[in-house]
Amino acid sequence: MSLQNESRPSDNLLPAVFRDGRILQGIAQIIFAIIVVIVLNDLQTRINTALESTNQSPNFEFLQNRAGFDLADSGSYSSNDRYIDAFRVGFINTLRVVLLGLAATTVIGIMVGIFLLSSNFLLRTLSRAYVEVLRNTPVLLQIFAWFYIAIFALPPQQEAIAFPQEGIRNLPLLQFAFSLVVILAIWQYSGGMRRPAWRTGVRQVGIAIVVLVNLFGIVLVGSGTPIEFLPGIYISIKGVAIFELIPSSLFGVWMVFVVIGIVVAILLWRYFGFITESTGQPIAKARIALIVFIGFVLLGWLVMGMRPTPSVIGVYDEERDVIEEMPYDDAFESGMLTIEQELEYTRQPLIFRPPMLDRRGRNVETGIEISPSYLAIFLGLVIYTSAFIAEIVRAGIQAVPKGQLEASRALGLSQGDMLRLVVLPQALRVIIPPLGNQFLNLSKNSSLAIAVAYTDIYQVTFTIINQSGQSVTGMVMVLLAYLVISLCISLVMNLVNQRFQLVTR
Amino acid sequence: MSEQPTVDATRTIINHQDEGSRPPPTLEVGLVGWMRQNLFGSPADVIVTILSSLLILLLVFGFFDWAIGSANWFAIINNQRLFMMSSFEPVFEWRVALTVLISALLTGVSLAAWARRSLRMVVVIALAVIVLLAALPPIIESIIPQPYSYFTAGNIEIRDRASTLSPQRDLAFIAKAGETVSLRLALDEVDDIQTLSKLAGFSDRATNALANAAANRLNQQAATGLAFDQMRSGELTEGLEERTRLTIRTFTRTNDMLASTTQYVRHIGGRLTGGDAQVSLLRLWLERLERAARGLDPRETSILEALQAVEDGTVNLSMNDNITADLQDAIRHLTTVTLGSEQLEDLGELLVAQLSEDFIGEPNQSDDDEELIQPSERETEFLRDMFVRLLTPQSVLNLYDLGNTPMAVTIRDARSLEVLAEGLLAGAGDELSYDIPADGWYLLTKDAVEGEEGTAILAAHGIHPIVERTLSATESRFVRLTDNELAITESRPTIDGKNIPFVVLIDNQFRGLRDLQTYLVHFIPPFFKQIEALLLPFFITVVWGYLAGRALSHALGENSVFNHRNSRLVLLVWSLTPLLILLAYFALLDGAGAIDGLPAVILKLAAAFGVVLLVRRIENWLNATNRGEDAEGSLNRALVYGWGIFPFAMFALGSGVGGLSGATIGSLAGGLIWLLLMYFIGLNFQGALGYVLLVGGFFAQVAQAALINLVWDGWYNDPVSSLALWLAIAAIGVFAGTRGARLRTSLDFRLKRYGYLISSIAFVFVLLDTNVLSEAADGNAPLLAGLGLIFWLGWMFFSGATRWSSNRIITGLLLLTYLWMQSWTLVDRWSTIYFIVWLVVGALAFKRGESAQDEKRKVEEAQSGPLLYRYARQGPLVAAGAWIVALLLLPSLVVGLDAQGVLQTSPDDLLPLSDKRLWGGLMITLQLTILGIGASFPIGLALALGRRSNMPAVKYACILYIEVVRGVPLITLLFLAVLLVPLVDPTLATVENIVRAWVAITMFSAAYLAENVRGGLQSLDIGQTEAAQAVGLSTWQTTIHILLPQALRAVIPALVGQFISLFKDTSLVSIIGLADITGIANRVVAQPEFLQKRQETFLYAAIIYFVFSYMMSYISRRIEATGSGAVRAERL
Repeated sequence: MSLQNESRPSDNLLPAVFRDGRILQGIAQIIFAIIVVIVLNDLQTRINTALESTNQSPNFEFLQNRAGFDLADSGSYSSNDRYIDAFRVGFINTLRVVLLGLAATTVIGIMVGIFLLSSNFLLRTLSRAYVEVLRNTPVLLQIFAWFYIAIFALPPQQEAIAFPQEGIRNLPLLQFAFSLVVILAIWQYSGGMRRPAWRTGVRQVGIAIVVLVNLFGIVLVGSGTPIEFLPGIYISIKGVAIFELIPSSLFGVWMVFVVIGIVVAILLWRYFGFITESTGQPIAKARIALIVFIGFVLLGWLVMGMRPTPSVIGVYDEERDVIEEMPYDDAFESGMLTIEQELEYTRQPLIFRPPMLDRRGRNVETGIEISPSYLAIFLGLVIYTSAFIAEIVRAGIQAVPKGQLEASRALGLSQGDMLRLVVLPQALRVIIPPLGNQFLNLSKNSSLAIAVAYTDIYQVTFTIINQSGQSVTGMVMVLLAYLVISLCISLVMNLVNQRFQLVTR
Repeated sequence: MSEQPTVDATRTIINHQDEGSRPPPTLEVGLVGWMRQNLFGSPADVIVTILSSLLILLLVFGFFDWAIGSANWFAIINNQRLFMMSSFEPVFEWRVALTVLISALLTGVSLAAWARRSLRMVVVIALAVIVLLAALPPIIESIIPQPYSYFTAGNIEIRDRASTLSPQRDLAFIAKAGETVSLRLALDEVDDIQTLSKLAGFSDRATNALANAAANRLNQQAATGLAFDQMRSGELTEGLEERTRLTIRTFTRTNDMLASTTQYVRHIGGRLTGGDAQVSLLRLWLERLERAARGLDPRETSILEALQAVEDGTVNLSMNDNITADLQDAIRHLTTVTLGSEQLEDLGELLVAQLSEDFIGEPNQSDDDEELIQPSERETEFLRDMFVRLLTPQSVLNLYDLGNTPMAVTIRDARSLEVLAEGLLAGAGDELSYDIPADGWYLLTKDAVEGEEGTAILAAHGIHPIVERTLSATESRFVRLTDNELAITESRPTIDGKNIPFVVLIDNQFRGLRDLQTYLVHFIPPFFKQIEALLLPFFITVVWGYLAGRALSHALGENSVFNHRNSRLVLLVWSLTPLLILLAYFALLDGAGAIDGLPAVILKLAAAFGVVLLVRRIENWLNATNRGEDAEGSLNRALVYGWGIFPFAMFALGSGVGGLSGATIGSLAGGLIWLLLMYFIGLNFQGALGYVLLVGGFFAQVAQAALINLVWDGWYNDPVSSLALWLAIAAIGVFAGTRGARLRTSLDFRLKRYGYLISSIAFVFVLLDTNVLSEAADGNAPLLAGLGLIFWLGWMFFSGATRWSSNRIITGLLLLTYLWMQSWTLVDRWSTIYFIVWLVVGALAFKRGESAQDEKRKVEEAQSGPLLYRYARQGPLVAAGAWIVALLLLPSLVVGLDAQGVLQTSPDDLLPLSDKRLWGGLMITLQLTILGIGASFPIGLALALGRRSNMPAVKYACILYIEVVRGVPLITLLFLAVLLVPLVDPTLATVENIVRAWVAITMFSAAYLAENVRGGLQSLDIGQTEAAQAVGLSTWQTTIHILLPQALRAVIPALVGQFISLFKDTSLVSIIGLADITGIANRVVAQPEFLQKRQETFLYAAIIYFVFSYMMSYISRRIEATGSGAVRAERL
């Protein structure tokens, strides 16, 4: 009360110059800047003094020294490498968590977000419980739980869970292929908004054929094609071992097919889009483009299978220490080919190598090994963040006004078209900015890897600091690394955001 | 989402004309309709429903299986204290308790104020919970008998697989007065091997070994029988070479059964690997054979190789059939020997004899014999029986001669070793029972009667496992595991200087499969009793607070704050700010003790000024509200503030954050009141009664200090002189007060303003240095204080008194209390008189002020309606009553009374600094959260405003800070605070980690809050600013009065979300070694009794986190729904 009622400041106490707002502001800023500089300078001096007292100088030269410590999950790194190499290992490991994690969490988050809006009560409630439980408990606790409870409960490596189980199984491949063709045909030819009666008939007959073929195929024909299954994935307390696909000498040529497929698909897409726009005739351009692309990929694979191969291959026989000539097929079956030879002579662009344990059944010799710490941090982050993303997706979809849905129904759009053409573009506009925040959170939370001893950038730098004593430099490097990751994610998300924002005047 | 089918009324009527009445559409309404709508809407829906139900069933059953069947909840029940406050000194537990109780009280008041409409439900639930908590344990205990504990007695050593155990002779236990300990032979329970193997309850190691042996034998028996059957049917031999199969199928016809068995076993061992029960059994059998083979003929290696191969799990199947006749003999011979007792040997001989006589004609070793003679049914049965008995060792019962030896048991006093009860247990009916006379250690001695040899299992009631718990660095106690009720602090008993073993959990692992009954009786009563002990006082206090609140509400009338539903959060947020600045100030300056001298004074002043300015702003705002249509008494607002602040203040103080030492504040209570006073004084800079009390108080302080310092030390203990002194002080106070009230007419406005400003500074000085004054004549402190006092008086006499505000009452009461507390540290019971005197002073001044304000009141009543003044009259009285009651209760809690009821007078005795390294559990989690929120909010606000500033230097500095902090993980900041801070200033190395963590969390959270607030600011229409400028408001006024209130209101959900994530992020401090909830969970699983019980502890920790986070988000949603976020809703 008193403030408003009382008199204004006296008008003639100061010369006019000092009553000019701009000048006052300038002065204030200068003072502020000076204070900031003084404080920062003081900080720096103090740190320098402290460091000098322990004979250190904050620079980056030490990074060239020999590291002298080993790291898990480190690829080709060894303790003889330099600090900078160790740092790089950490950085790459962090990126492994962050990039894969972003992809996985987005998928799960969107799925759960759509479940949250399901018309099914149980599904809705389950996903609600999922979201609430996960986002109301700390991520650190969740990571601990994954590591110490979930992964510790897995069997030891010798009794690892294998998937698929090793053995020969009969699969009705022909029937599958046939069914697939029929289903594709139905999909292609019986869709559309105004579907004539005969098309419905075709559809029903097609479905009947598929059902019959499968039933009779399995019941009557029975056996199918015997296929040998090798375990592609082993899950045990020591982590997960996954098969690897190694590009062979044919990979390059095959990629040419793939690229051509992509180009053709895009051209078709454009062309049919143009036709639709000019004639109004609805064409499922995405479908056609996809089929063409897959066709090219498969074609490439088939063509590769027909490459000329040498009739005999020289195989090194260890026992007799001689190189023996073997017919092509026998050589491949003998299992005595070196990996280089396999890559050179195979008829496949990619070679499948199942994970194998070494003799003692301890370490994974071939295949990709995923350590339990990686699993824990990955699952923890992905599941935790997905709860938040689910909420964002739900809110985004709900933010689309009801009138939009009603209008699109009135226009006769199908459920899928409505989602694709009306709901999603509008929802994405709301979803993307907070989604970017969650991505940033995930990337920053990846530093919690230290809790499960995963060698991410943070832990590596910590080790480096302990070894070299360069705490200031180390910390600066960590901060910079995270800043770089954060800024990259922000940049990408901003670009995406711009793409989806409403263009206004 | 869940649209209910609606019935169109008009259409129903039209149909009615044509077709008469119809049954209701049962398929579309009610439960069926709901199910059709929500569960079985379409084929896909049906599939989803089925899958989801399966998933739910799986989860639910899995959970209950684990929770009831195998989880060890003692890990939680016995570590409750650890989870709540870790190793906080037990002598200070009252602080925490007090804090909780006061929070409960205010919760009740708040419920009365804010949630009246839905309270019926709350009351019902609360009552139900109380009844359940109180009633269930006795019911369970009376219905379900307490399971026995089992102990082994005797003098036979019990062989385990790896070691040999002998039953303990002496066993210490603790028992409660009035309980009965009874012991008897467990013959009824364990009369056969089956029951022995399933023995459920606590049992010592030797008993465990017995039970394990029994279970193993049973398994072996079963598996052997199964193996025999499968062998006969050829099931296990599928896929083997035909030759081998034949060998096995001719098993019943061979004359060398054991050799064939060996062969068979080798095949099985080769085919099956892993943990299969059968295989492990067969392996066991093989081991026995191996030992045999080793002993007799080391040259024969083929069987050893096979065994080795089986061990590795990769046996080669071709190694099947060339056992020499020598070896066969050897094995036969050896096996019968190895099997041990004579009985088995006989059995083996018998079996072989039987085989040769009954079934064996010509031994048939032919590989391709297709015409096997199948044994008859009877023969098979017999053979099977023999096979099993041969392969299964002797029963445990017979082996140790369980229960057939008389046992002598004695119960003794553990200290004096005096025999309290003794008995001889020889048969099923014998029992020794003893009523425990007093709580304490007892000793159970059990042994076989002299000259006898044997083992017995004793079943005991009333002897429970014990855990030893360390409470703090100095204190530990022994607690009974199963009921957690009896806690004994005396050290464990010894005989001849050696500790007597007591019944610990590790020795007494619960064994057997736990059923629901056992679960109920073991876990529910102790847990419920524990919860009850925590929750019941809480509930009762809540109810008490609620009743008080309702009374207050009733007294205040319909339009009071209790019925007002808007903008409470903003109020709360605003009212928290000053408090938190203060807390920051304490924590940083005094708690750390790092900064001293001039910087400390400057910082103190800055903090205090922050408070004053903010409070001024709130006061203005309140006055503005009061003038407007929103006719709420400022008392009500003030009460709301008080309630908002009080719990936090209590919490902070109660647990001693900021290191409020005795020297700084005077006493805990003094500190509390001081804190509140700071706040309310801000509201009362112009109040008449406020002057009275303040001035009087300061006179009293000065006089007190002067007297203490100048006059002989002891005289104020003399009641008469002290009464005289206080009366004199009171007289001065009354004089000053009445002067202040009379001279309220305003002088020159400018003079008043400068006077106000200067005296504010002075006032702060006075307040800050009051304690210095009262402590000693210390350098320039009295001088400063005196100067301050002069300015203060000047302001008081020359500035105009303003409106009558009921805040003054509260201020007055607080001040009163403060002074009272201060005085209580000096003299004990005379302070009560002092207190009464001051009450009288207060009442007089109240009366005086009231009559002096009559004129003015009439004028203002005409302006803003009579309602305000009705509150003003009633409210203070009610509030005063509540306060007086509270104040009468508080001292006994707060001020330390020693055992004789004598007050502890030295401030340092009242509040020594506790060791912060011992803090932990929920306490730290909440502290970091509350203090983090409080400190980061103003900083975040400032950053947000700075970022929107049009001064580039400020703007870019803020942007830089926000973006850098937002770009790095919190854990980096935490480590920076721990590692790098000492580099910056070595003196900071002494700061506790909790303070550093708090600073890091604050810095981190502030950047995020800044972005949230900025979002709110950006959402405002530019028109708001323009209009404000048009009205002539300055930039600051625009920001504070126009922009911030709207902006904050718009981003309430985001703010609460940030607070929740701050709460969860406090878990990261466990990585830098603080024992918050997560840290404690990791500590619990390191205890030897609960090693690796991570499921239970993590679940419990998660539940704690969940409850708090969910509560916060629930409140946030309620606020959103009830319209405080209305601005935002409109905008979207």
